[in-house]
Amino acid sequence: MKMQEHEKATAQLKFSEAELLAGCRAGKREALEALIKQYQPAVLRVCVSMLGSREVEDLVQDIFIKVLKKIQNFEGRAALFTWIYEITVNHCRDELRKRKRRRWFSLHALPQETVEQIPLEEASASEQMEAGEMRQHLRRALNQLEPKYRELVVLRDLEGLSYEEIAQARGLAEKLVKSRLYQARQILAASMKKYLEEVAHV
Amino acid sequence: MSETVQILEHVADAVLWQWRKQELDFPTSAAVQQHLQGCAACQLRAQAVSRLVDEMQSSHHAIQPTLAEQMHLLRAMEARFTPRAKSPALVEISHSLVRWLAPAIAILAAVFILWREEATSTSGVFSQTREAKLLITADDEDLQQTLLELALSSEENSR
Repeated sequence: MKMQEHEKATAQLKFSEAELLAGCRAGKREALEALIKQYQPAVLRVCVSMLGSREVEDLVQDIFIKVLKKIQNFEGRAALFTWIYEITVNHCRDELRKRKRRRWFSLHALPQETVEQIPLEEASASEQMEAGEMRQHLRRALNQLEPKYRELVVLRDLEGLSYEEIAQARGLAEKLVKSRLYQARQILAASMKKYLEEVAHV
Repeated sequence: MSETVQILEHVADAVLWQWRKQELDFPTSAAVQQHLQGCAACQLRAQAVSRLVDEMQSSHHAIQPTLAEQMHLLRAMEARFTPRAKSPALVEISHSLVRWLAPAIAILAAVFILWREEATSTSGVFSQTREAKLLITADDEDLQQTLLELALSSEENSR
């Protein structure tokens, strides 16, 4: 899925990876446009799935600023898309850490009963209306996964990266990626178990 | 011919997931396949896992940036990373002309308005003179009175 998309986008924009890199380094408008057209959907999807919210426009912008700042030093050891996934996931993890800290500070000012009533991730009313029941279950289950597991599910099962590409993007051994993903899927399936059983009996 | 391992216990969800994603090596995949043929419970779970994987992917890929988000991002990146093109000399000159011309015109307009006001007020004073009154008298009596005043004043002037 991911590779097909990548090739399709490249073909549509008639930019090779080298041209895209050169153009972005020179600050050419067409190259910036091509980069955004090609990678904004994937960056947005990863951010939404990692953070469990659609309100990520600023985050996506920060990621592209980071990409374009770092593109001068991009050596091409990994493919451009793997590198962009790496920056995206790292940025999302930083954001999750910041949000957790902010949450911790804001929650310590509230009485305990109030804290317990707050859901982990709040989806807007319109989002709840739009999303199907299974999607809501899935989103909740995914949000409950630890970030180190969540990022692997997002990259492998949702974005379709290979184990090798994930290992490269995350700086982990391929074996570790495999075993973590196994655990992540096991946890995800367990938290969806009740729902899955209902679905299986329909 | 490769030997297939027989799975006697129920297959773990994560293994069913790997089987669905075709990540297992051939002997393990064949063993899972064989087990599923004889285990209704695992078959149901395999179907559910398969649905879960499909649903996850479709809901994930339904997330797309809106046109407004695309434009917003492009503008932000352009403003930050595209070097500003140098404007030609003529454009520079016209820019400075506009910069000076606009206040100059405003000042000229203000001076003109003031001058006009002064001129109007002069004609107002002028309309108060006896000679002017001759032109704006309402009736003959007024005209005679004004002529008399004019004659007296010219006489006084001549003295």
